[in-house]
Amino acid sequence: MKETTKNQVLLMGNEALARGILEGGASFVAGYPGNPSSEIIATLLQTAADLPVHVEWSTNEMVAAEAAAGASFAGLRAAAVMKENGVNVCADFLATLAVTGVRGGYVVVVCDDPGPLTSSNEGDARLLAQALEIPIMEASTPQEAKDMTRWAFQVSEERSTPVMVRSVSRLSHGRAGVELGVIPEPSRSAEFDTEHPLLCLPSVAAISHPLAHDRLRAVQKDFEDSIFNDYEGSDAPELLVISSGLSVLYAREAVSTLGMGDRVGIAKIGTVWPLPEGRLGDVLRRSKRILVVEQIEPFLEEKVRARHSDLAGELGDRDIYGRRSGHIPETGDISANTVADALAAIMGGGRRLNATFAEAASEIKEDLPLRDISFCRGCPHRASFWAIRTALELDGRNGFVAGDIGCYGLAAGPTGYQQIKVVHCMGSGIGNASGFGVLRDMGMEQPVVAVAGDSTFFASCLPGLINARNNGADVVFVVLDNSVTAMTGFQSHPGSSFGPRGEPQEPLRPETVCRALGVETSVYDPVADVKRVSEAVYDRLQRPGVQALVLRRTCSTYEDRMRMGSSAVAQVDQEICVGETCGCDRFCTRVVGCPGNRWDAEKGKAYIDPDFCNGCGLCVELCSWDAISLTEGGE
Amino acid sequence: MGGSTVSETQGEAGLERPFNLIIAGVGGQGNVLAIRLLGSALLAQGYEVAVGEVYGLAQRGGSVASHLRFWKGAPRPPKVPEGQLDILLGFEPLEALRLLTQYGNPGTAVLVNADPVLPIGALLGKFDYPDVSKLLERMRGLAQPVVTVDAGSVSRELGVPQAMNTVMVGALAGSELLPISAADLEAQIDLLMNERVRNVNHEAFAAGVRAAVKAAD
Repeated sequence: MKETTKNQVLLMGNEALARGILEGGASFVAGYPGNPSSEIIATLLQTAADLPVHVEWSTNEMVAAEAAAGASFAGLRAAAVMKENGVNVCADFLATLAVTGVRGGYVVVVCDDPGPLTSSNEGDARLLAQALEIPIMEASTPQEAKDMTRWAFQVSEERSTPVMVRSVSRLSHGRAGVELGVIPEPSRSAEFDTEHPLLCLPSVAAISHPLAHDRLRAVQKDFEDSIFNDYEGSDAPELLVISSGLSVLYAREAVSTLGMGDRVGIAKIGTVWPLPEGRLGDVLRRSKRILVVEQIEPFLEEKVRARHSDLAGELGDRDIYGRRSGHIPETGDISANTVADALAAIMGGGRRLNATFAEAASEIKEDLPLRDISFCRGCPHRASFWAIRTALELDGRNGFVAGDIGCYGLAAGPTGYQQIKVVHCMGSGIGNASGFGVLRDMGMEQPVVAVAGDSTFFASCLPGLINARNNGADVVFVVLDNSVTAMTGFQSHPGSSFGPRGEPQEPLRPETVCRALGVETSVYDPVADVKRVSEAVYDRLQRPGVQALVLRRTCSTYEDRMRMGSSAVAQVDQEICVGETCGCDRFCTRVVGCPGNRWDAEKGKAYIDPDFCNGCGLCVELCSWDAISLTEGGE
Repeated sequence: MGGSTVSETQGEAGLERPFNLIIAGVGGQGNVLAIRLLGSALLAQGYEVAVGEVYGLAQRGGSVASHLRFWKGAPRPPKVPEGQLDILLGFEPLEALRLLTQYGNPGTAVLVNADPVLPIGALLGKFDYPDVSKLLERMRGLAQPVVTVDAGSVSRELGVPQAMNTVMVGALAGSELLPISAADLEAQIDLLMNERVRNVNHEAFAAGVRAAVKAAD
């Protein structure tokens, strides 16, 4: 955050949200890594290091939401930070928090991923917020993300209700100029008022629920006058666009590109729910034709239809366009061009396209080879999935892997030999496997392997693992322990040997937990022990009940970053390599799938590109002629 | 070099239509730092700026693109609309062509590092990486001008292959397509980079400027 200019700083949306949390006076911030939200906590760990603010990576989003609420109950301002899927995880807690209400201002910052660009699905936090009865607002720019977050603490505290702030990927990961405000001096000490307990019990909740609705009405009133709602355009435009968040900018761009500024007005709604109905009614009076532009689900669109229905007697007919009319695609991310096409379809005219360019470009594009993503050089997952594949093939019962989300999800593709066949959410692999594993009396003859990363293990696997053991499921559970939360940017977790700010930490080992749960557990290095891992997986597949393996080796990309890997690289002795006559079908260069293993077509032998080798030694272990060895410093 | 500059396309009066730039490359080539250098320099000169930092999966060898837009007026989204690209800064030729087909138009000015980064499929022998001269020819068939910069070799000669990104930013400065000066950009190297790499990035930047001037001759 140091590129200072005039009064502005070029901040990423997530950095602006982090700044808003500080300017809002938060003393406690908790979150779990997940794109596109990860940089918020990461930024706070750096920028708030010298401030009296507790910042933590929690075990999962549920714990983050509950821990932050603990601080709020003690009278402090607190925030929980997560991606949209995280709200699913902590929905149970948030639903009851909305009923009891909060003490210190309590804000959930949630980042949705329209598209999705990097997530397992494209959930819409606004729908969740309404279901949980928590007010939600949505920012359009990094500046607004900061200012809105600061205001959210105030609304939350004044109305005693949790408040959510929604961002989307392209806002969270976009940068723009932001004017910074003041971070308030800490003035509160933490104390829980035991005279006024916060209880969600049946008898109490029946009384509390209507009070929660009163709070929502109060927030709705605050929202009527919010500066985050705005209108630009003529008093009575031919078409009115109603929009929120980043979509407002897409709408503005589309109107400008088509030169429709004098014909189309844009009503921006930052305070999304509970929607300020008076304000919405005023907006609806402006035009007979309305286009709703928003990201993911037709949330505002339904509200606009409902409000129009309330006012139908006064307003008469309105043509309402959006997703339900087919003017905006029903799913996926949108852009300025999406809006421009919708405007053109309604108003006539259109974008000026260069047809010659478009035709030539699309022909060329079809023809370009794709750049598939794969496990990184030296990635331990490559070895782990090689071992699992070998064991399942040897077992011969058409066994398969149930996995979940993380780098290892790539094992559904060629880089992990298409081993993973089931992927849903954090921890779902072991949960699914506890179902698969008890189907033997119903005809299931296939064995199942469940995999989970180390961070996922602590976040979401324990109930599933206990369930599998308790119900006698036959499962081989493999923890792929690379000692960091690699997928989201190398954050620490309970099993890491470093803490959130890089300080040393005593790791809690997955095998300690598994064994304490009564699950027999062995630990291997997936690369150095690759053959023994195959044997171990095969062996465990033949046994009843839950068997765990922890495959531990540090993420190679994390090692590269920390400059802590070895300086060794592999080298093929082409005198020993027997090339095509090996019978291995160019095993090392074609089958294993490491970017460093290459085929020397001229000599008909394998070789290693030292630029793509981190000296992990997997190919050394796997070459059946012992033609590959490790040498220090790539001699 | 030729190509449209800000003042030609939009008039001196203003910059109501944002000027659009994309850096096309592969994870690990330093897109983020390059786009932040450009964004910070433009912000410092009083433009409104929006940056889409990385679109793609950077860490696992995939295609990545960074978007930069600048203008005068009300906020704009960070994503460049397809078909409206003014400058394509290609860190890798295959990715440059891919992004040009998606976002470009006949007036898009292309500066491209001609050094390929092989996709995993090519490394594993599943397909051959296209001939670079063929890729450049196809770019020239779509848009003009297309200028190649030997940023890969320049940075290797300097002994810092990872400063390829700064060479390319220098080349962009030398091409005079932006309304800010090379000095405006160089100032950001001091602000954004730590001391350890500052000097070598100044050298890389200067080498990039020279490469662009040479290419224009």
